[in-house]
Amino acid sequence: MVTIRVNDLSLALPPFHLREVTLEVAAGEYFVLLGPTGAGKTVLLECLVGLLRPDAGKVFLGDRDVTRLAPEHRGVGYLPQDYALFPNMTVRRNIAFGLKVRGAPGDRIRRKVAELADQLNIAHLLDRLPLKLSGGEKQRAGLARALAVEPPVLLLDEPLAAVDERSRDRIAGDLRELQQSTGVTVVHVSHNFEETLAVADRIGVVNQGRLEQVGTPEDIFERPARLAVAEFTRAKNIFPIAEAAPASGELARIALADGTVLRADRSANRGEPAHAMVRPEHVRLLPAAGNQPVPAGHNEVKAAVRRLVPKGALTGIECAAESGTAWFVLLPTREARRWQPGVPALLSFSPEDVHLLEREGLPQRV
Amino acid sequence: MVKTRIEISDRRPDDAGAIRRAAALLRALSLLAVLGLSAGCGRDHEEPAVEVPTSMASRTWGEATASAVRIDAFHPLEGEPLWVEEWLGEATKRHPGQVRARLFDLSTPAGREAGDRLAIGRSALLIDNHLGFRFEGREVWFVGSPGARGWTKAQWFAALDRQVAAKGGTGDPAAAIQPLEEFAGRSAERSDSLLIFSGAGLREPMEAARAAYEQETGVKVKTLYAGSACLLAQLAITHRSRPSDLYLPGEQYYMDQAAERGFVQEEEAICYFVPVIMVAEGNPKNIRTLQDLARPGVRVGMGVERVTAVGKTSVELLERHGLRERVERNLVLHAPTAPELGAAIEIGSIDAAINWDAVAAWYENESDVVTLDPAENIIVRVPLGLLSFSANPRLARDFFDFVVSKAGRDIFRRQRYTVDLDHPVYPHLAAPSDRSSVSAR
Amino acid sequence: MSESPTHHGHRGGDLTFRAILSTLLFAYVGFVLAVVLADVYWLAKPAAGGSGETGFSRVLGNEDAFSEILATLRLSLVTSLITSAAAMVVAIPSAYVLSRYRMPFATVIDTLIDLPIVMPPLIAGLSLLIFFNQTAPGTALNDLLDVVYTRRGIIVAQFFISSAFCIRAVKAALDQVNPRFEDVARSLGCGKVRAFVQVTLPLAKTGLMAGWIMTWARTLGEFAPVMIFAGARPWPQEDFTAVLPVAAFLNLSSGHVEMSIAITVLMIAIAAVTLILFKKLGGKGYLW
Repeated sequence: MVTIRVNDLSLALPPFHLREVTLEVAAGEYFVLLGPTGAGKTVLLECLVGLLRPDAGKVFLGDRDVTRLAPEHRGVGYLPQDYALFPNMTVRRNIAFGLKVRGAPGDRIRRKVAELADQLNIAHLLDRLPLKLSGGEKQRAGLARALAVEPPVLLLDEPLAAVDERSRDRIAGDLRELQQSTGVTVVHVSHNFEETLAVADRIGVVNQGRLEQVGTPEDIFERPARLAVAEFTRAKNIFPIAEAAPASGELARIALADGTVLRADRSANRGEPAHAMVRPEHVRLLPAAGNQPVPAGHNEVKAAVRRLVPKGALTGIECAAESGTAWFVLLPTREARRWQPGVPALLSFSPEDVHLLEREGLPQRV
Repeated sequence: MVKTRIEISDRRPDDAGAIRRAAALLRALSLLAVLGLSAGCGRDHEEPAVEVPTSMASRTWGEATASAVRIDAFHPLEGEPLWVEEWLGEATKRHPGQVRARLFDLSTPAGREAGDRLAIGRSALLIDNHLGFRFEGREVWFVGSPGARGWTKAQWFAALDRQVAAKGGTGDPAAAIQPLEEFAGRSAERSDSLLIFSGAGLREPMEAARAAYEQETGVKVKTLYAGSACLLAQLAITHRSRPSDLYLPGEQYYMDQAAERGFVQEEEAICYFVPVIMVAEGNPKNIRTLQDLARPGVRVGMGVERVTAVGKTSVELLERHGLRERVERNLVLHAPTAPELGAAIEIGSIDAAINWDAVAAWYENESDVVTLDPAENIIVRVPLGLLSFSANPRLARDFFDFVVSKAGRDIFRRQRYTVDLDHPVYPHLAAPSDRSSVSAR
Repeated sequence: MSESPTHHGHRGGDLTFRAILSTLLFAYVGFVLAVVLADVYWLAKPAAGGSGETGFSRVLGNEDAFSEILATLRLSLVTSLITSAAAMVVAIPSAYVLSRYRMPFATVIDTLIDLPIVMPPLIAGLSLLIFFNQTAPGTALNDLLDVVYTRRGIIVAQFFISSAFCIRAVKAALDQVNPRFEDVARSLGCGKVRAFVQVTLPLAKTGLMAGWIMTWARTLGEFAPVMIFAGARPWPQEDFTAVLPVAAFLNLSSGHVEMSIAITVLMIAIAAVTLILFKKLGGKGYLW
């Protein structure tokens, strides 16, 4: 169980460019590197495995500088995206591979394989070839192979991408459990925001080779630092800011590009605000000629319902503000049924729920 | 430093290496034997491995005595390099009565022959058959012109002085200078083997001649076969590194090409190719003359004009008889080699083909031959060439003489080649009656 | 191996379409078979003279002819086995580099490897002669190895051409092995070499075998470069250098059509066995 530190790591590997990535993963932490395809997160992971050498910067495992160290000398567990189980070996031989390479005695290998097979529930698969396994079984076999040498660090590249939708939550839960029971430090690469919420202690969002933001899942979801992060968490209601007046008391007066003026709680923000964001589930929808009063101090925006987008338990309601700007509200479906397209409405939300996004382009340091 | 020995053009370590080792062993043994016999004399044994007669030298200095140090200089004296003559004169003056110098002019046939015997193709200055001396551990070979080859006049005279002192007892020889292994000459070292380039179509008689000669003399004759043009290319590329001895192309044209490049020392016709008409067995189409080839319905085959000698000659022959256009109308097969025409007759894909008599003879069992009037025919001579860059000119000449001798020609005759135009494989019968079709044998 | 979809059933209209296409296929296959069998037929047919003698009896009944074929076959097998083994030794590392690394001048290197394949064989032979006789490094090498007009030259000429094929074939085999396997093996403690030997090599095994067989078949059929560089010295000369295709040519040139066809039939038989093996081992790509 060791910490992973990455200092100012840069690597140009067209079309990927990692730019001065600095990151620290605590010992025993489950850390997710999140980002869209092509963001460079796999490149970063391969720098940790040792398959790629950075152009600049350093990688530490614990106190050890491993930047120039070949993968075979790093002792990290690695599970690539397609699991890469050796197709000519049975699951048993796959798991035993690392121990054999290290010249471990036969009975120790047997014990370890049995123990891992038990823990990962693949004891019945040991004599099969990887070709005959399902996606989830392959993944467990791959994990067992990586864990057999008891690595202090486990590096997972998109471990859930090849698993079918239905079992994803369960397997994600298993991963989390496995990590907690072994105490291994995990770095998990993912392009899917939802799947990471269930497992991650912390998330690092990677975009265009930069680490945009690092934080807990809640941080990332509720308080994305920049537009790219916000968009990646599928946020809606993001509007460019025309002018941010100095704070009067605790609240700032924000003029949006379409002329709407909002009050926002500025305390949570560091940099210069570029966008304002209101999560659709934080907006309340009130009848225009309301007998329901707008809560005191809340922002209100006049709008009309344009259409309803049912999403199962929740329903999205797209509204058009007087300025023409589209706003989205997310309501429980039963509640949303009360609304019809064309009905005028009042959008109401607290200043605390107006989240301000920093301007792009400055590397985030953690 | 890379050892610059004589630029020996013969590179055949396979036999040369073994022979060299064997020769060294023999020399060592003979040295022991001689030492044993003449133990009392205490004289250095010195018998050159190859003796070159003085008659071959263009100039000599000093008297040949038993105690005289012998200098043999090989140099092409095409006018300019008078330094050699100056040095030799200087050497005899410096050690009067103790030096005997001979100069072999490599620009004359006699000088070259002498050089050949010692396998010296270019300038060299031998002292008592030593081509090289060790100067304080460094090997110096007196090859080529001084300066350009990394040695100096002073070194050569120092070597000479050392040798005179050692031999005549006129002082202590300089210890720092030691003669290198006696240069025995390649002729003595090299194996008795020859390299022959022969046209593929002449394989049978050449193989027979080779086998006969090898049996008679024990000389190894390596014979390469290929198309004449291909052989010429091989010769042109490898004659320096692989001296070759004889060239037997399928036709004069290639010999002329080789001669133009200066490859050929001498040539002699060894056999002749006489064009005949090959027809199917029994001559079902009743072909008797060249004119019959123009008859409608006769399927004719010919060699490709630009590729094969037989094709070229056939076209000339038809042109001479004004038949080219008419016969070409009947042409169904352009064969890239002469035997393919025979094979086509044998298989039955053509009715008639103009081909060499020797090639027709191979298919006698499956075809008949119609001869042509020698007066109207175009007969091609097959020349055997003695190449000018042989590594072993005497041996090459010997094999050349053997092939063109009666014994050699008889081999070709037995293989059914026309060796003598008065007695061709298929004699033309004067009366062109219905017997002009000569049946087998 | 990926499974390719094959359609066993057929819908209306398909049948005629299929029939037309199959007719062309079978016509061509039949043509190839007929040409090959024609050689055998021709050898088995009694000669026109009525002596009852056939091409086979002439070749097999003639002790010299039979010995020539045997000796030549032996020379061909020995040289081609040595050559294809040497080609593999060069090809495996070369193909690995080509398959796994991005290299500067990759296109240039790739083109150079193709050169021996696209070079006219005759010119390839002459070029080898020129290199080993007219250039300083070539002559030095020849002094060391003695390859011009010798049996060793057969191997050099074959090697020059066959290695290019071999590298192509081995690269195709290595390309099919996911480089991730090696990555994982290294994360588990294998060094580069060990990862290649223990993981990639076993996975590429059948492809490598197929590549080797293909290279060997090519080598066996190599003609013009061998004839020119090693010289065509036929059996029974001492240290003769005529391998099967060269012997076929020499026999044709001196009128022994049966011999040359018999040698050809022998080569076809060897090639057929080889090709079947190649395909059994899952060989892909081309025999060029």
